[in-house]
Amino acid sequence: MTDGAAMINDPMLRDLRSRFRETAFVRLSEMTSLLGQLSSDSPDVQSIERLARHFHGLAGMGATYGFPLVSSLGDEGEGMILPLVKSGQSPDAGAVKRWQAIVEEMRAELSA
Amino acid sequence: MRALVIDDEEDVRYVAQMSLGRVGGMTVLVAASGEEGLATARRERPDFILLDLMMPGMDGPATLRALRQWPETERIPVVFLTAKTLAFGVDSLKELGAKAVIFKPFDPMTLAADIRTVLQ
Repeated sequence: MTDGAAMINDPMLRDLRSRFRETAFVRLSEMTSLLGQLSSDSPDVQSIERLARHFHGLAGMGATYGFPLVSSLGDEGEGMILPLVKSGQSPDAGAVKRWQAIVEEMRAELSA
Repeated sequence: MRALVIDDEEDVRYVAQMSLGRVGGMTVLVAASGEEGLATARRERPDFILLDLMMPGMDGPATLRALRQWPETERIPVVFLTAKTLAFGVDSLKELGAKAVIFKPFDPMTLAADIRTVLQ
């Protein structure tokens, strides 16, 4: 895990952090779109799997790039969604609402 | 030292390239899937492989099993990179033939040194 101060002080780490932030925002936009579909239509398996991949990716790499909160939020989202991926069940409204909140918390962390 | 990084996440491939290449002075090859990684490993014969556990299609354990089936890749050390071991515990991965398991998140400044240590 990398601490934020080191990432800001080292040029390579600073570049990595900046690049991760850019790609993470793209991910979050897609996650917002996927969550909109989940909350309005009957969810398809591919959307849920795609969402799980995003949670997994953010959980795995957030702290590496100096965003530990992104990792912990990603872990929470992944932990909620993996059982649905395995079972093929649809998420309930509460789960979708929490995932939307997680996405917004991640966006706020990356914007700070 | 020549490394092959197999991971479907571009963020991981990129930071691993920078960590192993710029910090660790290694030559770094990358592959975005188990299938691509297997082909690259057979062609390039890297000194070690940093392999993601969870990937769509051919996942990490399946990729390792495939690597062990070819004479040109059967002895290449494989280090798993994973956020979670899920059904595969560390012991299970080592029983499959993995040299070590490194967990995400990792420190980009020490990844190369950590890998050199486990490969010794």
